[in-house]
Amino acid sequence: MVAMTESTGQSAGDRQPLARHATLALLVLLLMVSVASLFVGATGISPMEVIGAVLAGEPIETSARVVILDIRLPRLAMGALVGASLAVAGVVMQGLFRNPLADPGIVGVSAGAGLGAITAIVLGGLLPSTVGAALGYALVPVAAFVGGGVSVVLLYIVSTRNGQTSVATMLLAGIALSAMVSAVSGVMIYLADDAQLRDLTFWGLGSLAGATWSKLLAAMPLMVLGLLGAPLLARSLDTLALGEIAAQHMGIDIQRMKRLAVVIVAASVGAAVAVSGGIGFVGIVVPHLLRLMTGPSHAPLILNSALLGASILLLADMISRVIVAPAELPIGIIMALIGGPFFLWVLIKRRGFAGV
Amino acid sequence: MLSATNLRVTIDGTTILHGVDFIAEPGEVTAIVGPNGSGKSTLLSALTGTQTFDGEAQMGALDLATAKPWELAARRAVLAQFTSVAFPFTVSEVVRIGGGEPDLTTAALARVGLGTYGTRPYHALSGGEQQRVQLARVLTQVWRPMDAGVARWLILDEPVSSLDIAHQLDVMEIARDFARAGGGVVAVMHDLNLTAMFADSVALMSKGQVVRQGAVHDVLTDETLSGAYGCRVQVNMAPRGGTFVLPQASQA
Repeated sequence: MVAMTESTGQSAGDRQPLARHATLALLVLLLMVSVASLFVGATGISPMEVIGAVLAGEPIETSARVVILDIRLPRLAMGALVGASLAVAGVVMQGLFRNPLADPGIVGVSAGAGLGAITAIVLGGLLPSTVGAALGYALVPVAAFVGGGVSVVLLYIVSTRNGQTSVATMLLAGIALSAMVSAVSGVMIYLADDAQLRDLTFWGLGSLAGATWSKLLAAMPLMVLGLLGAPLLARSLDTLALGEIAAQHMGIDIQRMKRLAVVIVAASVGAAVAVSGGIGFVGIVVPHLLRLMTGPSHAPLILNSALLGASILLLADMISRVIVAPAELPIGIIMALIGGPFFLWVLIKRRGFAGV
Repeated sequence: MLSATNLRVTIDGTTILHGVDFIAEPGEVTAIVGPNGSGKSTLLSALTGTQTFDGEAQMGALDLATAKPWELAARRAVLAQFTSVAFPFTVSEVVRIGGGEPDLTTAALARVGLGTYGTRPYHALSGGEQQRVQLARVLTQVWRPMDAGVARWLILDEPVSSLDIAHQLDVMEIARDFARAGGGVVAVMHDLNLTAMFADSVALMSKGQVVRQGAVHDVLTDETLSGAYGCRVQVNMAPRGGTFVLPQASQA
């Protein structure tokens, strides 16, 4: 069936059929990584025993059930959602800025979201108790969403003139933004008590270790908003790749698409940062690899980035769990070890391509 | 019919268009000519809905002041002087962004003489080739010049400025064929000789106004051109009966 629809009407050089095959492969990859991540960790649980028990209808050993249902399953779901959200946020931001270097982490959007989250953690207690109770676990994600949104808008206003983004200005604005954010964060950390301080430090390194169902449920609406909203932008982002004026000529309401893009980036990054802290580079590594393999058309790129982002984060999380077991290395460190050199490699390859 | 009446545009306090009257008919190629800075591109932006203006402008039944981007996109396609492409698309992928059916991509590329270029990376092409790929993309947006009895429009901003002479003729023939099939073509032109060969109507602009619009032999005259361009220009007739302009007169 799939092969038949692909063979008709597709012109040579259009990599959409290839991208569709990649989607299938990435789905299989995500499935395998997900299953593996349920069984990898400090407590050894044999997959065979668990699967055997489920198939035989026997009760699973209590300790194994707790580890799988209350620790690894929420962590698996959170890792997949965070990875997918960060990767999709990267694609949308790069499309909006018309530049493959626009990664939420590199240009300060994650930092802005982080500031929102830190403020909520430290000052959340000062809210009237009724408001605090009403927001509950949602307070931190919502604050991170606001912080991320403000950062994207600021960054866009500073670095884009007449629809042209200056890469240098964008990266410099990101530095300024990060500096301001870390100054204010410093103040917040100064105000924090000991317990909050421990939370902040661990959270800042980026980790999925605190995953619980309740945290996940609080952040999930924003992530789902981002993941379901992004595909609506696919055609607009394709046309925007030819410039703002050309996109308008092709029937796109530019102002509306920009607003939607900002909301999607802020929602995805805000929610991801709120639950997992500073996990960087997913938003640049994943879309970049996929563009190399299957091209920059946004419809397949958004879908495949979500799948690959989820898989990569789950893989990194497994590494973080076993590499210094029984302790854990924060996943943010693993991603920085992979992503830092990758970013440098992209910069080296792009030398001489300024602005493209 | 595409028409503008008393069109005025002011950008950052500078008035670019001082009450322009302009008209283009379906089935014709209408050229806009004039010196640099005379307001040709601004007029084109107003006519394509990307520049706000005072006055009136209509594309068929659409009021250009209030039409939505998607309503305009269904009626007309626009080729810019230069289109920058962000991301490493192939030629086929760039054409598909135009939004036509997938099988139009191949046909449109063949139409601009790049039928075998589909798999190439867009950024590896020369400037002239890139411009023809963009024309193919634009053509897919208004592939049928008539849609349910209503003309569609092909709007071209200096479509041949980066092309060699053979491809200049090819592109102008594509424009003429589009008009012959019932669509309307409006093109900003710098080359007065190509204008004389292909235009059914010429609008000559100078200092933010259309100083004269009409048939080639009425508009491209010694006196109007010399006045508009501010240099001596002499209009002649080619051996086989067409108007041509040589710049040598300015040296005489």
